[in-house]
Amino acid sequence: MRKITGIISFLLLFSFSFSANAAEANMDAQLKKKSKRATDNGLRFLRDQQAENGSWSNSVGITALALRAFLQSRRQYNEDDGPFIKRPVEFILSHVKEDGSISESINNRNYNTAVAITALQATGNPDYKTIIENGQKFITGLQLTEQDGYQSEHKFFGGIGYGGDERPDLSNAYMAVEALKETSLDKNDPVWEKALVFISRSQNNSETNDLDWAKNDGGFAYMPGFSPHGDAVSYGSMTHAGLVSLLFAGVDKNDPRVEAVYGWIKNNYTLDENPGAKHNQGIFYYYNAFAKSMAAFGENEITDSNGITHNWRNDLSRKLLTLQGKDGSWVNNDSPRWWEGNKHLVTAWGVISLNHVIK
Amino acid sequence: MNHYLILEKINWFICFAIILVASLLFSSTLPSDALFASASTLTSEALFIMLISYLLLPAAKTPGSLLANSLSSIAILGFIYLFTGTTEIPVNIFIQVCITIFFLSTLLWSLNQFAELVFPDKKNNRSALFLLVVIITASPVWLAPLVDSYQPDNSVINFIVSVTPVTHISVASEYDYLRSEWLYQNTPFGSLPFVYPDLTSIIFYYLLFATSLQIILWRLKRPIHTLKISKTVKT
Repeated sequence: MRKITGIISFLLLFSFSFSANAAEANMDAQLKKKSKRATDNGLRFLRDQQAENGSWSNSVGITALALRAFLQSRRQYNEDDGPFIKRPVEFILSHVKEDGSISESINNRNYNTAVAITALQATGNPDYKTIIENGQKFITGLQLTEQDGYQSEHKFFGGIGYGGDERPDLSNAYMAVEALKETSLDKNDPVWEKALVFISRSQNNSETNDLDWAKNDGGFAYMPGFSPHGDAVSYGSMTHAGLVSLLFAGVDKNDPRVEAVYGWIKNNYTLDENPGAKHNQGIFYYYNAFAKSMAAFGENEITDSNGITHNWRNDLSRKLLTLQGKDGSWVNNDSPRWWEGNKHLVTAWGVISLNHVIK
Repeated sequence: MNHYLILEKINWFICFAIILVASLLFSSTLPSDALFASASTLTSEALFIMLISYLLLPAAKTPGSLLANSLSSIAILGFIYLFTGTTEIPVNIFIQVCITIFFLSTLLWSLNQFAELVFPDKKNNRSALFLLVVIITASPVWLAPLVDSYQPDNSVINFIVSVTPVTHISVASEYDYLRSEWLYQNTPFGSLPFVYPDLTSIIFYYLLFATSLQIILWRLKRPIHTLKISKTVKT
């Protein structure tokens, strides 16, 4: 009897360690260790830079991203850990408006509200439920639909913009979709289906895009028919944002849109630049969207068009480790566009990206 | 009543009517359905009315005419919104825009008076000032290549955004104009960190500069014989 118990215990222990090793094996063990240390260093930088009121850069959006970096890190910080978590939450809450938005200014209201409700959700505190729901309503209210005079044939139908005018874009749509997914908006809400119309119309895939502008490389532009890098060219950050948006909006991996965008990623696989973008503009946005899309897609490895197989976690980890400053921060030294000259923002993205890598 | 004064008033009203017609024509070219944010329409109209009023109205020579010229933009904007049935604007935003263009107009006319006093022989003072205002208004566009090349500090970006009149009117309209479709495609400002100035500061600075100019103008216009009398009394 004792022998059988011993054998069973041994088998159980072996199976646990096997499954643990299998989880560890999704990336190189040494790189994983270094990535964990890098997230700690990044969080330490953010902690040192935190203002008295708990904010970073006096911005709701940046504060929410930094807060999310802490909450979703391997250390799993929470509000009980101290003022360095509590104060940014209070800062965010102090900017809740009557219309449900959470923003310190009239610009970036969608971005700010989206990342704010994602961060509040990550606290796990049920006290914020109403604020999160109101934030969801604000974001879904920004979507351009028939009620705003946009018929389903219009190129902007289903899109979501900054919140300051009616021009939507894929970046804002992606942030909104991610926030609505993270805060568990009802899957049957019509916002998803309408968002998919806009997302599909932003893709360079004539098979599934009913607008004339689309080419056929499978990647995504900034909005239907336009990219800031010229014409309606597909580029890395928007392509990965598009993939995240498709998957979060409930599209299956075998859908032609997802297959097309994955094909673009394979054909343009690189972490040395933001493929398709000028002068490395938005490269940390690219890394962040890359991490989220690859994690959401669920494959550890990707084989590029040259037949080379890449472990995306190892690759992203290596790249971010080389770019991290001695003080633990990250910043885009090539271009300040899209706020990537701001160390608080970019470090938060860096940590969030590595959080996805080491998960 | 002095014939000259009557003619001046008639002239003023004729110019006002021309500006009104031009503004109505301009408004008719703007998309008026839901595909164009009402705030952007209001911003475009307010800017157009203000600039064309400055260009066409007779120069303000007295405090009364300064007030009339400054109020004319509000009158035309109000007419368009009351009688043309364009998209609804919340009253508070409409009032904000009216206040902004009133003070902006007052400053422009004060600058015009100052230029005419300091450069009385120059006939193109108003055109020169108009051109300067247009250049400053369009600065986010023509500065785009320089900003892309030299990547200036955030404080420089904020300064450029803060001084242009279109920012001031947009703030009053609560319109994020730098991220509108055309501007986002043609200038990097919408993608850079900037902060719009708040409306209170905008109005304060307009008021400060306009008042300062009027005080300087009053001092410069004081007749010379007044100074001689003062000297006589002292001796």
